[in-house]
Amino acid sequence: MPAVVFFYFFGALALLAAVMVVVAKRIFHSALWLALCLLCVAGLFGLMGADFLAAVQVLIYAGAVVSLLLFAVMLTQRWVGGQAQQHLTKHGVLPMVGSIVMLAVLVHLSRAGFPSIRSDTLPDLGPTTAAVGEQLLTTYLVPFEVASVLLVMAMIAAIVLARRDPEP
Amino acid sequence: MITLHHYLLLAALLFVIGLYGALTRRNAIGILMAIELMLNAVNINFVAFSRFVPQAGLSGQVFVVFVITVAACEAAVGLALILCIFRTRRTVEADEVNLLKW
Repeated sequence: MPAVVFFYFFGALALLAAVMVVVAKRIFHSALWLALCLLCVAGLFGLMGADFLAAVQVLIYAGAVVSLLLFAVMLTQRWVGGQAQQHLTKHGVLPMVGSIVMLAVLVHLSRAGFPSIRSDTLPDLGPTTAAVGEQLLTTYLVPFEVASVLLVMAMIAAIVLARRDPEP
Repeated sequence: MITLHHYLLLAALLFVIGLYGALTRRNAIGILMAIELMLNAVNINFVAFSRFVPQAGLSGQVFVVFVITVAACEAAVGLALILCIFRTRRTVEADEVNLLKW
């Protein structure tokens, strides 16, 4: 029974935080709401028995990516009137229609005959960290190596792009 | 009781909120944040399928590791690009960066 309470708690909080990310006036507040949303998703991962992913979500998403976003916000603010405002576009109806159509499609797809197993009848998986690591280094070895190359490329690219040109 | 459909519905709502944000935000960093929301919705789906479909095994969780890796790369390079744009144009509003727009 507590699993149900935690699901609705994390789910509702994640949705609220996501809405605040989209509608918050200041971009800095958006980033903080995004951190809350990512932490709630980490909680949902934990509820589904993905303990490794919950830890990775807290460390990489809520830790690294959000602090990167906050630095970028602080480096690119123009401080108009003391606070960086952000605006939504004027043509607000077309994105709304597109989003609602997308929601209808997704809800329709989610009814497509997936097995409706209740979460309390599932076997307890126990810690999955070791199993995930084993799969990463056996079945998914090539994608794993490609991902590390991608990380190095992204790191070098970010350094080259963000560096100021040296004075001649 | 919680079933797969609950998680799918939650992920669909999160994805649509992110989509709406990506379509309506003018600040480029705001657009990046909305994209992160959409990626998270997809991650919830991956983990939910890996948990609730017994034949799936742990493939869904392994896939989420790759999605998080690519999302971290995307955030790093994207924010570096936004810094470059800010240095040359003094703005991060997506619709004010229209040099290539005819």
